[in-house]
This record gives sequence, structure tokens and C-alpha cells, in this order.
Amino acid sequence: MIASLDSFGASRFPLTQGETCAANYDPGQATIIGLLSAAIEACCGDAWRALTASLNNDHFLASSNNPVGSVLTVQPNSQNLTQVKMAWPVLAVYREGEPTSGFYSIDYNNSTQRWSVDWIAGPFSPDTQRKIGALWVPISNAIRAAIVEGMHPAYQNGAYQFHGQFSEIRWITSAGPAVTQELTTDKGQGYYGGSVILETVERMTFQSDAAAAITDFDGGAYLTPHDGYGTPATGADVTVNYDNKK
Amino acid sequence: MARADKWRRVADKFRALPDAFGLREHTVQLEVSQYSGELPGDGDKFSRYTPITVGNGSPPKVRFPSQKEVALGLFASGSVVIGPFTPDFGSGGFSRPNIDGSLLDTYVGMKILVTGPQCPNGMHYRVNNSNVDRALRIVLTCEPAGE
Repeated sequence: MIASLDSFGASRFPLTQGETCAANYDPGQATIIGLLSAAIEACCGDAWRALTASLNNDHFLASSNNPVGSVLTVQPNSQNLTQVKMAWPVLAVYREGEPTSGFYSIDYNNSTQRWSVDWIAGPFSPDTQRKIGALWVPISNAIRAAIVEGMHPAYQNGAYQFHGQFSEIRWITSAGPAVTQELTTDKGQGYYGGSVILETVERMTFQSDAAAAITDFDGGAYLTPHDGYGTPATGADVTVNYDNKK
Repeated sequence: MARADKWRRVADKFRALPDAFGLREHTVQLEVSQYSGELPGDGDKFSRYTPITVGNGSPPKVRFPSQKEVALGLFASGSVVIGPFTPDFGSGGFSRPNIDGSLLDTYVGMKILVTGPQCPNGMHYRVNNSNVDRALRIVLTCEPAGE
């Protein structure tokens, strides 16, 4: 079957045989994780290390060297946290809820998707909440700044990250620091951390090679040159042959 | 040898008796797995299996709670109770830190693989509760995990 479109949001079609991991299947998610991990480390890493160095040696964060100890690409729940060893704090970035469909104009689809970004520092007692918990505030602000800017100097030389992946990405709200109500240890102790809600808009696009192969264009949109949507192989911008639209 | 270890050795020996009569039909293995890629799920999977046994390599007791126990809320649906088996006593038993995951590296997974009449092709479980409060026994309450 002929591909009817070349990309939707961060997805590029067709997937090649060499693209066999989650970062290929949802590159937008990988971009958000990479950007936010680097931003949090750059903004709060030194403070984090000074903080954890001051903890007693038997504290589970005493040997933690990074405010993002490990990342999770799915919703953190007891199923996930009790099957794979995660280093605290955990940064979980995942698509949440059902996306809503919309149109930029007639036959120009887009999809609005909410994301959760959860920073889970671990099960804390009240004194540790006081000592570490407020660090969520600068971390949350670092996340917000990186999303608003779409880049961070510490990640890929400050290159803008969402060009060609998301038509729009925006910070919606944040919560915390707090003890989670839903996520608990098997002994019922809540995890401590914070959460940010993001929203992205992804759109359907055609590129010139696919556009040449089909005769009826419904449900897609032509690219303007140099808008960041590239070919699957090279990522290079594509100049659309508008003659195909006839 | 610590005093408790002497009792553990005795308990471990007797826990193997049902298997001598062919009454232990389920085998249990601790599966520790990791991937060649950066994150779990990326690349090729490598697993290491460690049998959980009692006595001289006999399977431990494996019990699937009755519907009545599930209905009463004593166990989650689909759960399995593994054990009692014996904590490490030097010449045998199972090391407790191997159960709680504290020795694992980041992004290394741990599951329990049970194979037997109830799950002939083997079924993976995650440890939901490890009861190690007794000196002579470990009991794991496990719930189904994804494959």
C-alpha cells in the first residue's frame, strides 16, 4: 500500500528496519526526555550533589549523583517500579489521556495530546521532605523554561528541539511538591515528588515523494519549504512540488 | 555457623520432603534481565535464571490462592504464594537481598518465573510482598507481570 502521508507529529513514515526502539517509535517523547534531563541536570545538578552529600550514608539517596537518576517512558505505577530497578529520582515522561483531534483548516488534521512529566524522588519521611522536597520548585521551573524556550544550552549545543516534531508545545500546569496519592510502596507509603502537564499539537503532513505517489489528498497538508519536517532518511527539509496538488 | 543457620539447615531439609513424593509440581526461577540498549526494552534482552529451591534442588511450595481467599480480599486475583523456602545458611538456602532487588543495577529487571500445571508454558510474576520476618522462612506473594 502506498503511504498516504510522510509524517504525523514526530513520527516519520515509513519506519525502516533499523528503527527498532522506542526512541524511533516516539521520537517526540525521546526529545522531551533528553531535553528535560539535561536541563534539570544543568540547572540543579550541583545543588543536588551538595544536598545528597549531606545526607547520612544509609539514606537511599546518599550515593545519588544526578537529580535525574533514571527515566521512565511509561506511567509510573507499582507494576513498573517493582519489575525494573530504577535509580532515584525517576523522571517519567509519557503521553497521558486521549488526544483530541482538530483541524488547522479543512483537510489539515492535527492532534492535541497531553503529557505528564513526573519527577519522583522516592518515599520520604517528613524531615527528608523538608530537606529535599522543595528542590522540586527549581526543577519545575527548569522544566518550564526548557519547554517555553524549546531548548537548553546544555543539550545538543542549545539547538531548538521541537522543530518539525510538534507544531506547538506548551506548559499547562504543575503540581507539587507533594506525596502522591495513587502511587505508593507495597507498604502504603506515598512517593514524594512533583508533576508537570504539557500539551503538544502534532499535525499530519505530506512530503513531495509521497505526494507524487498518490492522486487524492484528503486528510493531509502540504509542507512549506524549510519548516523542519524532513525526509525520513535524512531529516533534511523538503521542498514540496505543488504541481502534485493538481 | 550461627545458631539460626543450624535451624535453617534442618528446616530446609524437611521442606524438600514433599518433592521426594512427587508433590511439588511447580518450579520457580528468579529471572534477572537487562537489555543491550540504554533503557529497558531497547535492543536485545539478556536473562539470567536462578532456581529457587529447597533441600537438594527441590522446588519450593507454590500455592495459588483459592477464589474464596481472593473474594475475601486476602490475595489479589491471579496472585501466587511461593514458599516457604529457606534463607541463606551458608551451605544452602536463598540469599534475601536477591529477593528485594537491592543488589540490582539501575534498569535491571527482576521477575519470578513459575512453571507447572497451572502455567505449563511458564508465567512471569512480580514480587508484591516478600515476607522475611521469620528467621527460618521466606514467603513471596507475587502478582502477574507482563511478558
